Amino acid sequence: MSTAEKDLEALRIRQEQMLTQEKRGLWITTEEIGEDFEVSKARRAKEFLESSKTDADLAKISADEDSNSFSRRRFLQWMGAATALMGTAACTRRPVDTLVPYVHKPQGFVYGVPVWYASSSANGYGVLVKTREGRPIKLEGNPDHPVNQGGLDAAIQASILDFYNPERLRGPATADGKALGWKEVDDFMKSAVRTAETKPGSLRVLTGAMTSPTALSVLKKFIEVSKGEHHVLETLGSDPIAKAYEILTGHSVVPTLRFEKADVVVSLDADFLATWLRPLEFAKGFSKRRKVHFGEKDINQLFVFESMYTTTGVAADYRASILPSQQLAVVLAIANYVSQSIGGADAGFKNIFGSYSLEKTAQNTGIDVEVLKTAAAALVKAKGKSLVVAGGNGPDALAVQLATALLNQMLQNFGASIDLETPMVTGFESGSSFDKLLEDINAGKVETLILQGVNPLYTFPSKEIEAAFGKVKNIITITSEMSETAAKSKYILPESHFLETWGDSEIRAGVFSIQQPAIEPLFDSRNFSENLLAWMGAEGANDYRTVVQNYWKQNIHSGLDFSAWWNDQLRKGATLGNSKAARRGISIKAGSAAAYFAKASDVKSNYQLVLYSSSNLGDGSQANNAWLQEVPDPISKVTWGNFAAISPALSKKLGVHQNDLIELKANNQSLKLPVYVMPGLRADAVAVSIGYGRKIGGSIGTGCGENASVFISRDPKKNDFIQLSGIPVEISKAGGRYELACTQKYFDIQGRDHDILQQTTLAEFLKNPMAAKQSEAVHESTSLYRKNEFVYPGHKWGMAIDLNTCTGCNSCVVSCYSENNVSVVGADQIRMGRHQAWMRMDLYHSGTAEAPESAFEPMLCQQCDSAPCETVCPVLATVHSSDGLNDMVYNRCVGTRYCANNCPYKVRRFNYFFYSESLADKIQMVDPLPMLMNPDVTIRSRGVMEKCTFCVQRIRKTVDEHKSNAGGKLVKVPDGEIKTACQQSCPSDSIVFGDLNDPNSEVSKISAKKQGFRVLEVLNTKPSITYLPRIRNKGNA
Amino acid sequence: MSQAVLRDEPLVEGGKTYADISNDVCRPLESFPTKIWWVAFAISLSVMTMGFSLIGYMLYQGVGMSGIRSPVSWGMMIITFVFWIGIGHAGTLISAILFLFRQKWRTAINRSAEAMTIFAVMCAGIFPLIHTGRPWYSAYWLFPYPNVMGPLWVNFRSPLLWDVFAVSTYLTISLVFWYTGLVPDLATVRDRAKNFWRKKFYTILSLGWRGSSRGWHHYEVAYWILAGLSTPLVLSVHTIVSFDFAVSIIPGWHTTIFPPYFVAGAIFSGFAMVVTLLVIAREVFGLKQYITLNHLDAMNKIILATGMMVGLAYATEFFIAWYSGVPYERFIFIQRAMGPYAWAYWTMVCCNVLSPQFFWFRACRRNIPLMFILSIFVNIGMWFERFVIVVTSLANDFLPSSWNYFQLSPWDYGVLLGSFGMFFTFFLLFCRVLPTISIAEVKAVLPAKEGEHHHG
Repeated sequence: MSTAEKDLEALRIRQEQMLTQEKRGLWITTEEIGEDFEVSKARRAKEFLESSKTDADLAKISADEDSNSFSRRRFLQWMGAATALMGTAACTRRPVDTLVPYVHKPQGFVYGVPVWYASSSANGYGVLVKTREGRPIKLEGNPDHPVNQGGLDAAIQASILDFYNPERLRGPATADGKALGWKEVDDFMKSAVRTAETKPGSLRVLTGAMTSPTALSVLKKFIEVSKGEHHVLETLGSDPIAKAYEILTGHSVVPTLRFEKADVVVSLDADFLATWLRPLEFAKGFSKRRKVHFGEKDINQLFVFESMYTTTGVAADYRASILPSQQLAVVLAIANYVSQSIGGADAGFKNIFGSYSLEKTAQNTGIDVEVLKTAAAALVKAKGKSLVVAGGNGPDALAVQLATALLNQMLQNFGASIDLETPMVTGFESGSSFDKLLEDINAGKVETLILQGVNPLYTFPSKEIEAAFGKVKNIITITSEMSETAAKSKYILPESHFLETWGDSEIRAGVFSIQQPAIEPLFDSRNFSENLLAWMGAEGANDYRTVVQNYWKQNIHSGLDFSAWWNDQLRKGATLGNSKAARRGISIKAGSAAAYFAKASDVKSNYQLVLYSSSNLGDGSQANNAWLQEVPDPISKVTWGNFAAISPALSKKLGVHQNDLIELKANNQSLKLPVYVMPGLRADAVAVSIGYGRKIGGSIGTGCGENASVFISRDPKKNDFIQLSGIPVEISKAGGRYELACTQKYFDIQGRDHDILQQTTLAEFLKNPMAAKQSEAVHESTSLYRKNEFVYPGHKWGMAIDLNTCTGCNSCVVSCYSENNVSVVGADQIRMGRHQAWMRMDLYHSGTAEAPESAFEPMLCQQCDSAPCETVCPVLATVHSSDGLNDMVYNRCVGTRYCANNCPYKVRRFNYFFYSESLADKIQMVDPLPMLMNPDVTIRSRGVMEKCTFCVQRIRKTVDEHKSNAGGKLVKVPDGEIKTACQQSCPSDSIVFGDLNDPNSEVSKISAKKQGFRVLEVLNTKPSITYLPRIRNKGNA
Repeated sequence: MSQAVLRDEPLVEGGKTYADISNDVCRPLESFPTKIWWVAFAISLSVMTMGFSLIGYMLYQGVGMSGIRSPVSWGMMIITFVFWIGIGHAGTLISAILFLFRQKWRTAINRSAEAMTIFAVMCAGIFPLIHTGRPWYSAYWLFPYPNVMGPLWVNFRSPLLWDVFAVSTYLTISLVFWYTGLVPDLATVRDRAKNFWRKKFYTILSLGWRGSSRGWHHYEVAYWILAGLSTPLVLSVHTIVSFDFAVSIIPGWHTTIFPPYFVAGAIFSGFAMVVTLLVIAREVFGLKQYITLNHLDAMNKIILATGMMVGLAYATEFFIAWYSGVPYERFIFIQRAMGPYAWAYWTMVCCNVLSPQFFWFRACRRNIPLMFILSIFVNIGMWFERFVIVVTSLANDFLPSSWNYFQLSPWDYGVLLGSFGMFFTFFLLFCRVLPTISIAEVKAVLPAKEGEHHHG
């Protein structure tokens, strides 16, 4: 009997059995018709990807698929194909797509209702993963996570795009593209591990900073078994800080900084609101003390001394531009002042800092002595409630960190705003340095090198390192996408995304969170630990969940019932526990620190180079992310590339204009970069962002900008750490132009402050809350509109935005891209002025080019009550809703663009081409990218207008839910239940959304505040968004 | 006004008889086209084909082929739309208003001026359609037709909708008016036809005209009524087009001066275009004795007058911008004269305000090469006037963060050129198949000889 005949026979028998079971209902399970339970389980596994599925299962399923001639899955596939073919044969206008519903619907699943999972991002922040029909579509901050408290930065939000990127690696392969099986890889690596056991030190693992305790424990075991060594590489890392504390306390730690406890913050080249260490956490804490409009009495004061104009500089109350080589001088000068004027400072400090007079420093460096003095005096006044931070990795990085720590010690900030006992977990202490790895490679000691989360051939693009890597026999790169280093590897192993694999994190000592998969792996990938476990031949390679569980059971769990506790942790997403990283009772001892201050380096160069980390792309590992490339740099508004930022004075001196190419020469390397003329820079400084210029970085990342990392000074003999700023550089005109793709070209507010962006100082504001208004508001009598033209029954949605806490971090912008399926258009379109972002971050400069005072203003559809766009649309494609929204009807829109012309806020975006068909024409909408789309939001076709909707899909969902719970009656939605995407992700809680009809809602209360203003109120468009003025904490010292 | 000037001068020169008139006007229709006609036609047709190919490519790719961008969402297409609509106005003015005012000198030029109106409105009509993002819908969604989508109506508050009605009414009435005037002449051509198909063709077109006195009576009444109907259109169409701008809230657009300013501008540009065309036509088709220097002189006077109205409007705009005290409006006007588009603004002023000043002098008004050059200047200037209005107002409106510099794309240039190709293609075809001068009307103004009566 052939297989088919056997199947038929079996089917006949089952049919008979079914007929005998007439009393049963319509549905008969496989068990009931006598199918073996195991077989049915396998079938189920085939249908639905259950999280318990293992590789062995997969193998069994595919084997079954071959032998069993016609599975239900295959049947449905055939049916789909046949229907599609029928469709084409009948010459329909569009190809027919078949929707195949679940046959067995998972329990508790309802179509169209999102399922949320608490998890943790790759770098350890608490996230909530929104899934629809089993696929993650949006990442939000977990409000219960003690570190990010609901906020989420642009990079993590954008990582969902990385997850669905069609260019992800789909299976193990060699560098020349030959596909491999995992077995082949595992066999090879097992033997490599066995070989390494006999040759201690021949196997090395190079990773980035790791925050996962389980992964670290697995790695530790792997290192033990293979007798290898672990190295850590992190360019933008905090190693000078850790080193400083090692000198001062004996412990290599990076303390936790509590900005919420600081009345006065002094930042020295530390862009802590955007790029420095943990900006998400810092922005949260910092903004809590800026809420002057929310009744907060103790408003903090921020002093920034920086060599590049950053978002932190924009947020500053006092800002002075410095040269990177002056970092040490500034901190010593402040310390000098503090040591002399603070009560109870011990004599030791006076000795240490005695010789660095503030006045003399101001004279030598050209920094405004007033700013220095005000900062120092404010610090003294706020003793025990202040915070001094320094970053920038300048020429004296270690000395700067030591001086900063001692200054904080003098100010008694340890134990208050600085927490040494529960430090940040950076994973540095777990491995030795990259330099040691290079040394050992060059000494011929390294045979096998496993890389994860790092891309050294991009990070340090030098011939020596490339040559060194050439000497290693087996380079194994674990990565999700192709990279410069992967291209030189023996094996390239696809890495699972944090959305599809188990894991955990400890971002701060004692703050643990579980990373739980929201979907089965999209491709044939494994995470780092799964690989190591497999290569050790250890348990759990196929069941990493158990490994994580076991670690938690042994190290974190307390109490009785583990499984109930575990499930509870999964639900909450974060827990506090005892940490191995905690450092109880450590303290600062000045010791030999003073010796470092004496040998301050002297940069002898006409110009100094500042390398800073791009606030979107970070170190460049996410360069293939279209959202992060498209979202503009906060200060320059440049997209899709980097530039050389110079001051207006320098541009005049060099005779170059914006977009002219200049050549930078430093460290025997040279680069040609377009000029960006930026205020707030010193005339002898030039700033370039790193993170661009990928050579092998996917369709999006490759070729955007130049890799400024070539200039990084990495000489272990000269410097303890890689040097990012204060690098001597030569500048020359290169000739030629490159047009930067900017989304904003004019930054001068043209004296329209009153109408557009109101600002004042705290002193003025306290005297008169209306101080920023400058003049009286519009008189009602001047309006031609009838008063109260329309009374909104039920809800009336509105928003309030606090310009005083907004840091311009772009988190809301990316959140909007993700929530609303906003298209990516690419550099050429942006150059023309065709940006699609629904929410943009306007920036206006005032003051002088040397000492600018700037402010961000998030700009989105103002949902005007008298909307100019609505009256001019000839086809009624944009209309007013009864709850105050300015609705956009895409399928009615014919694209006259009259609405966009008549919108005074210019927030309407037009689909000039079929933007939604691809990411910037570089990556087409092919699988799995369409799965990224939010099914609640229409994908816009070409020729239609689009704009911010106040996340109408969220409003409707919640309102309808309440309505159906109330039996179809419209009921008021409780305040705070609906959060727009931008509001949800805002790390500084600057956006409030709610019902303006409810006098008790937060948004109503804020909108009623006297100081609130509407943008272009003079036009009487009656916007639904109230802005709260920017208040600078100045003039009240 | 001009009648007084022209009273002493004959409206037709060269001592023509009625037969001469029929022969002269019908000659281009009855003989094989000249070489120069073929060359002109080949060029125009190629340019038109290029224009339509570009439009086709745009329909495939998206309206982003044009230079439009945020915040300048209207560009070449709306500019050119307003330009062509304006051109058309001279034809209506000549045929309707001058008819009602019994300006006999219009007889020689009204036919081609009306033809120009129709072709200009056809050219104009293409642009609002193709400038939309989804022309396949805007072609009919902009009309209030009964439908099953709700029913879903159009937005009667939108000036763009008023445009739809204004322009379609304009085209319909102009077409009917023109055709009515053509009927007696078509009958003349029919009666002269020797070829069978030719006769058939003109028989159908002439609608059975027999030249009976009853027919003439009805004809005169109908023509008179249509002239009356067309007259308000001269004022209303461009007024409504100006509402597209005036009703908005954009500084530089939101002004009450726009309706008269636009109408004056339209007549100004229309007369310039008539001069351009007639200077060519009288040369190419040998109609110098019918379209005389007197005619051109009279038209140049109108160009001078309307040019100064336009100049006054420019000045008034500046005055009001200052007088209103609105900072946004002030800023826009300072930007126009001194900002990034100053080149366009001063091109406009030179062409529209300065160049017509030559027409103060009789010698200049009667100098063919000079008036030809000046008429082209005026046309360039009027295109730039719309460029200045559309672009400068949008590019630098309320929020400086959105400001941008606007540039036309290569596609824009191609389609702009293509619309001229279309215009001239139609005009050349018109010259070949229809009498370019109203035979019947010219006969009526022929200087009377002894013992002859009016009729033809």
